[in-house]
Amino acid sequence: MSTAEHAPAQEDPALRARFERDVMPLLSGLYSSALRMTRNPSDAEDLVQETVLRAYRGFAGFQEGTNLKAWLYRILTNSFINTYRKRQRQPVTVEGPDDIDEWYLFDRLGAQNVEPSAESEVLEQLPDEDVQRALEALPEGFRMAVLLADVQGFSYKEIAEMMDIPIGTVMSRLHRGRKALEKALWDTAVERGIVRET
Amino acid sequence: MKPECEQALRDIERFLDGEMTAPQAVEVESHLQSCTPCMERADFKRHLKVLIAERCGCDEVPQSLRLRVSAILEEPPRPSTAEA
Repeated sequence: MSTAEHAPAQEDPALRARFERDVMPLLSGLYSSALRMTRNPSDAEDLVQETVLRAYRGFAGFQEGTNLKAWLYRILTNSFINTYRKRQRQPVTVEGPDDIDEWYLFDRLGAQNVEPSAESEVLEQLPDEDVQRALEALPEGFRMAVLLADVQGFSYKEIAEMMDIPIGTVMSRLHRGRKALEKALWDTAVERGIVRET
Repeated sequence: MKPECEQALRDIERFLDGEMTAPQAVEVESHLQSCTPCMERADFKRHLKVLIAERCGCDEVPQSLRLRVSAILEEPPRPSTAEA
């Protein structure tokens, strides 16, 4: 990650200042992502701390002008996979229901007699925590893909590099993950009494 | 569903994710502009993406974590052979 000809950030005040300026604004996104990955505030703090430490020590090797956010999330993803997943003793799971229709949620919300085009507004009534729980309930492989694409806005290629999987696998995990998420959101909306079970 | 609708919706995720080539995206966009039911479906998936992003990426950083991160930046100099 770091190259030998550069001093680490902590020995170079300019590098340290640049780290603070460029990396610190991304801290809250890193923490949110770590929470969704570990599903636990204490592990999320540890994960972000480890990520920032590794990034800081390797910052001299980061090429300015390339995508800093993608570089950081690669460290975050690797740290999660290498450390926290082992700690949580969870295998990589990409199992998920395959029988969910592509338009599962749209069609069910449409059957609720809501105003045309108001399907997504129904979901706005869900509290943040419910949407977070729905995402966190996805099997890990799906959850990571949806988190990195939809919450953090990374491209398929960037996600493929972060997770070390082919682009086709990213697409299939995203597709299946989103369908499973739609079902989880529907189930939550039913539980909350926001929609009627159909 | 009409074949042109089926074709436009088949890759709607790639379209909304901005992963299509420009000519592909233009083709999907022009169908959506002329077909309200497909536009509604596309808009729904688009809103869903926004909803997930807004609700799942806005957690407040705890003060304890801010302090731990500040401590990292105060690290004393290390030998340059240190592993990242």
